[in-house]
Amino acid sequence: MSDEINEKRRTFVKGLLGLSILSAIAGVGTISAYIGTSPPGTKLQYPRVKVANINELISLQQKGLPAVIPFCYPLTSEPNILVKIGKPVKDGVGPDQDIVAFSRVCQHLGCTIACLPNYPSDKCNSGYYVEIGPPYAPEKFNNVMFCPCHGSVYDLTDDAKVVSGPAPRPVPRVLLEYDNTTGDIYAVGMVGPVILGRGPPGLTGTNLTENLIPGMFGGTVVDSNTVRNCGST
Amino acid sequence: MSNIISKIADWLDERIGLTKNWLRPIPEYGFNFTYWFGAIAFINFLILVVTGILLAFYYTPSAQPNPEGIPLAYASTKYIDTQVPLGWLLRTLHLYAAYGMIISAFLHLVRNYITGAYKRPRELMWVVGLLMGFAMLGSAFTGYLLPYNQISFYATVVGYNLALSIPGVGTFLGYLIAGSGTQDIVQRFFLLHIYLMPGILLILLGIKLYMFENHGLHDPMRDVKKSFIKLYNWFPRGVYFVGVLFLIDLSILLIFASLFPNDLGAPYNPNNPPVVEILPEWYFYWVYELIRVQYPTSLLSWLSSLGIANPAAVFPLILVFIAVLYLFFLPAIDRGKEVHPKRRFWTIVIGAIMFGEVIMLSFIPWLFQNGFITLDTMANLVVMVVSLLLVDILMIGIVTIIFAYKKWL
Repeated sequence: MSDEINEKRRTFVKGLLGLSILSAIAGVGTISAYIGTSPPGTKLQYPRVKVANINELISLQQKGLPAVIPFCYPLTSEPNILVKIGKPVKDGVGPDQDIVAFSRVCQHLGCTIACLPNYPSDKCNSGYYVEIGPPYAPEKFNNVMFCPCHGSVYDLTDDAKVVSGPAPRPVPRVLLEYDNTTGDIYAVGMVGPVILGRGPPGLTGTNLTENLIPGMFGGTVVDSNTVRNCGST
Repeated sequence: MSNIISKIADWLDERIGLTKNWLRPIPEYGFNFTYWFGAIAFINFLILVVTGILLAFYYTPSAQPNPEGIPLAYASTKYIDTQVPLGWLLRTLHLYAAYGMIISAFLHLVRNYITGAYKRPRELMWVVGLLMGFAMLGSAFTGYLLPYNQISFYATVVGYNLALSIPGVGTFLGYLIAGSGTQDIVQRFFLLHIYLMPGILLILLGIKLYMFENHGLHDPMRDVKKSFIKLYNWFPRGVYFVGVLFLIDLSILLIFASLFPNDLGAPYNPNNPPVVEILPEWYFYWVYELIRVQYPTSLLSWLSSLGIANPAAVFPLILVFIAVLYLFFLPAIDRGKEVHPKRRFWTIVIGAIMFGEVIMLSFIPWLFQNGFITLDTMANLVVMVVSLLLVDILMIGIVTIIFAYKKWL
């Protein structure tokens, strides 16, 4: 064989190289779809479900317990609380305008808000942190939610305003409807940013019915059976 | 008989080349355990691989509930702890070997920072070493979720949301590591923990060892004429040395693991809210401390105006990122020929401040256990800033005294 360079072969090999680079670039798109860079599934609608009857909240109050009922909404993986505060509050429903519901997903970094074990057990008996304030100043706050991860405190009487801690914004509020004839309380939607870690972060707006997308916690849209019984997702 | 053995040995030697000096000989000053922190990290890595494989015999990476309604990941970990003979020891050993690896890797970093081991021609070894540190921490973070108890689950939620908060790549990163739903996150974290992160770590180790074989140990701090340094082959003295380090390391881990077995805690269950204060592992305490304080509103709203969705999470990440950038670019910043710490005042001062701050930040959550229970979050910021300033002054003072006192070092 001679040492001559076969230009034709060279061009052919270069062409092959170019083609393989192109297909590699095309492959990146396919792979990113495969690992789920865009959330899977279709966008969902907020359901209208009955959460509780007002008599349940009243009977809790009569027993001397915090009038708090945990429920999931809009997905089975997203915890909220329904609270009867005892005095009229902004956007409160019911005969006393004092029933509100908020997400329990902290807006700082997505922890589930709950009670801490070193609280007096009678203050913690429903498992949520509403009747008294955070441990460093229980007398200072009332009707607040307290996050056990980094200590954010939300004021339930003031549209879940952040009163202490690193949370950047209030937790989303569940839109409630109160049926005057039966006393049933319905959840119909949510106001506030899409819940951190359980949907695209940083999305804001009031009408989020188009943007309900399962995040890390997965879950399915609640119905009347799962709204109060929603653990096993 | 001995004839047969020597024949077998010769046969093997001809093919493998054991008696050839295929590893660079070790200079005499290298037989000092402070030169071996990297090797100790690797020893811990080997213990992690062995114990990890044994744990994987029984562990089920699944969030699905068993017939009793307990997630399989937790139930199988519980099974290891209670049913597998000495399973509790195995799991604690795996955990403590990870601690050992993190501690020795950190000491390796500190030592090479002080001795200027990142200087020409070892700049890329430093960079690769830092990357290995991140792969190691990634492996530790993904492993924390796997027992699927409350504290590990919610700590992972925090880490996941921190990743989501990173502007630009956050959403991609979030879906990449966690997918959608708890089943996805357990499965992907298991994959990251047992294949991807250790795999990256091993590849980087190969690259680093290749460079190490080219450059050898860096020179000792004391001036020694190179021609006078005695050299030893890896076999037998180096092998014996590593063997002794391995035995000491394993003994320490076994003693601690048998005296203080790790408690599994309560299983994660979305129905039950967390009943514990959620903390990361101690090696992430310094990040945790930076995250939980309440930064001035004006600062956060300025960051918001730049389009950052979760400034309260992004600002502490920026602080960490600056420190990390400094470490990566250190070989480019401190380019002088001097390796002796006494002739590198500013590098040592900055290093001492960073070291002191990381230790202090890690110490605050431990000092104020249930930190926000004793302190208002605004007070947390004051405590943090004041203690960091005190540490800075202390560190500058210590370094200045050492530099002023000629006889030291």
